[in-house]
Amino acid sequence: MRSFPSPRTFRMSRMSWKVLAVVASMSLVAAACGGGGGKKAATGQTGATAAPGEGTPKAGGNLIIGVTSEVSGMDPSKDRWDTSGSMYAFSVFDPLATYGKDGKVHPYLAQSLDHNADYTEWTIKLRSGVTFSNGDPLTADDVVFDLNAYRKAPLTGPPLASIASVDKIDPLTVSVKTKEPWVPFDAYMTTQVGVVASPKQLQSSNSSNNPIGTGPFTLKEWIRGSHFIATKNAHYWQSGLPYLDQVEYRPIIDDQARESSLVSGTIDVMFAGTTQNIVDTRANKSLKTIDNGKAVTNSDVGFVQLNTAVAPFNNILARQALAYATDRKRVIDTVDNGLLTPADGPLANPTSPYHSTTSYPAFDLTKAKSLVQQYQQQTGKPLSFELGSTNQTVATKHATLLQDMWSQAGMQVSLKQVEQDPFIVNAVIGKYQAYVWAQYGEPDPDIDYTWWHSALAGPVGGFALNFARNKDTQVDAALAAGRHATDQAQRVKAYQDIADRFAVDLPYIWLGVTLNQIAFKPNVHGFLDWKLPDGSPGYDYLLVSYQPGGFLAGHVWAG
Amino acid sequence: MGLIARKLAGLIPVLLAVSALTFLLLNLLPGDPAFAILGPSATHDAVIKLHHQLGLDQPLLVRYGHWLAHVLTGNLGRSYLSSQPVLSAIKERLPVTVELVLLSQFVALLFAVPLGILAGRRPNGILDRVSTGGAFGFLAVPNFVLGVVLVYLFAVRYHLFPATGYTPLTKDPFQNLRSVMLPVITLAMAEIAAYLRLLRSDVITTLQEDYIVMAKAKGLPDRRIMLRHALRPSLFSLVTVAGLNFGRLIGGTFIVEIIFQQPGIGLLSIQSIYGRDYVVVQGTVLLIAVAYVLANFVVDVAYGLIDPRVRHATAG
Repeated sequence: MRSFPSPRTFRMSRMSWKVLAVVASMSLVAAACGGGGGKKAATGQTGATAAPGEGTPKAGGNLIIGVTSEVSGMDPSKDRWDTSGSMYAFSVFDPLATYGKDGKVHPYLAQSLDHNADYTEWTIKLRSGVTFSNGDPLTADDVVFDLNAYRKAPLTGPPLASIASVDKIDPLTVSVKTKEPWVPFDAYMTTQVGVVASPKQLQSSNSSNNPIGTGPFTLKEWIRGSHFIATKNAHYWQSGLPYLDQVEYRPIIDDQARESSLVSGTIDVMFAGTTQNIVDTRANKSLKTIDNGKAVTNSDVGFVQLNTAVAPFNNILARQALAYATDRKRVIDTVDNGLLTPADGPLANPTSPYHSTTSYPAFDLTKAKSLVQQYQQQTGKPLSFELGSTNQTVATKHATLLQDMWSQAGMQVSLKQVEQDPFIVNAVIGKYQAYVWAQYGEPDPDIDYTWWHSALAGPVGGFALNFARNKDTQVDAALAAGRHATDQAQRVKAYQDIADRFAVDLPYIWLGVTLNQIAFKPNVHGFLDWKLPDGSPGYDYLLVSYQPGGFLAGHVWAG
Repeated sequence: MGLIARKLAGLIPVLLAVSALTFLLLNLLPGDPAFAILGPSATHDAVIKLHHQLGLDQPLLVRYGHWLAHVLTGNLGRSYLSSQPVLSAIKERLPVTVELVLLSQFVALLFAVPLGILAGRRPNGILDRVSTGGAFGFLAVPNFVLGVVLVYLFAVRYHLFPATGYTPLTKDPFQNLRSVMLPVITLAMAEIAAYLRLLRSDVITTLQEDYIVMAKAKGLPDRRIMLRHALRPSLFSLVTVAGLNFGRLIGGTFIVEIIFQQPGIGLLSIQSIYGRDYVVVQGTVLLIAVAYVLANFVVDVAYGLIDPRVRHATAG
């Protein structure tokens, strides 16, 4: 669940009208923890294996999964996928790569992903004998077509902007040349832009509604707002998979309704939407739960985003006052059921390889009051601003508590609720002072380049993906180092340097690390301890591609 | 026939006005469908490109004109978000909402009519006081509260009905009935209360009419007086409100559809509004407007059936 509202939650996707939260995506990108390096081993074409501790997987059965939002469509080049979208998509499509338990990117639909010495050319070798759900064989032509289509599409083009060309080498091999050394390119192949759809689908006028992929299931029926049913692909390339005969996704937007559906037996698996869902389902002895609290990767972080291009937050005193006046523990205890870890940087999950403790200011009300007075003396004005949030219940609770907290330090804070869509637009054009936000959960922080680089901190009124409009040359240098360094230790250091700079610049007032959880009936297995095609352990803790909370339904079984 | 023609002719300006106002108001809302589709990582170029693809770079009046021209040929356009034809989306969702509305109205009338008659027959009697108290109680409980309570009792606690979801009638009639039972009860409860109070008042008034006194003086049995002479003239208000409710509920079951995850028109409308999917919203608003007008039309026809004087006046 995401405890903080975020542009990633556009449910109802788009309805999550609660946020609808749901949505997300900043990205179609993702990334590899630790990815980076080295030639990937060629893999065999193996199927499922027994899951230690969970017994022998059983074939057969159906599963109903309650997701938090409906999905706009299944065209990877046009439809933005949040966690729900990824769940649907990774049932009917396969990504070229995915994560292993070692936190590294492994080939999945691809046989291998190799790179040259300076990471300016990647070679994707495909498996032979794989077919799409319409019976067509998977070839290099399909991958070339798809990648070029993604590069041209408004949605998927920006994350692939560093690609110079995509060419077919032989019927099963593709070469991707890049404009600059692109170390974590393979991580992008775990995401929406790494999905291989039949060119016939992408060329169809009905591409969003008629997925043609190589995935473990094929779409049987999709009634939007009601259900997405996919049945077993009898010709799936991974022998023995999928275990289930049928998987059904039901978008149940209301968090309480989703929980009631699970408890009453209407569904088998649910995605938590609030910390209250997590508390309730953990306490229910008839259910099992898994969350990403110990995930060896990044998690989204909740924070207040400050517009450093406008008053009062173009003044460091104001930002410092806010940081010292924010009692993160009180926020988490009051609004988040005490479940979250306080954040001190963008990569604050303590188990993330990129995490390090920063010098971010600790709560100090006396110091905050002093800074507020300094600000008033310097500017001749009271420290006054508007705090915006979406109209989600959790977001408004955060805003209300922060208003109270900051008022105690002498600030004048007014609240404003904004719908999800204009909320994002306002952030892009800089029409805000402070926004309650959540972001930065991508496994590889390279994707955050867009959000943090000075070059993308445009003027107020213009487009800027650096929403805080924070400009710091040291951050820029570290972002470049993180993108180009081939040594993982250097990359980790680069991103830790960025976290340290943010503790000085203070464009973000950190709150807590978000938690993703699924709850399910005891007879559902396979979320953990699943195997990749090369036989190595697959990633657990609920992360599939860049979507926290997701899992590959092809590996799940009921028994 | 003349009545039908006049009503149909009246439909045209209403629909034009409703669609034009909706189009205008939707476009005045802050937000941009391009951001709903592309998300926060949208670049300026991508937004411009998508605006062009969707035709959003054209003037408002031109876009409205195109939409109207297509509607006249039976094409309501395609969703910006899902690319699904709007007509197809509405066809998918309409049976759900219509079933919810029809069943809830049926249940409401099934309980409200006999209770209203009995309560009106003996004002301030025990039944009247009990039903009045109960009616106020149900009227006071918002349906999102009632819905949650019903889910807790009948789904979570006793597992009698599913908490969410919808099974089409054509797939499994029994499961269909189970899947709509709780939302139907939730919708019907408030309606029962309103209808009961309405009918009770009209029955009390009718029973004080001279012709009822005459009937009593002639020694007609109470049951005959009630059913043959008092009930029909007492139904005017009820028929009017029930008819309009049908139109209202076609687009007014939002909360219930969300709580019980019923994939109807309400859910579609909400999703589309939040996604700034103007074309779909236009389509659902058009549908709701048509439902209202048709409901009014049916009410007018029903007047004629209930009271011959209306028929004769129209014919004359």
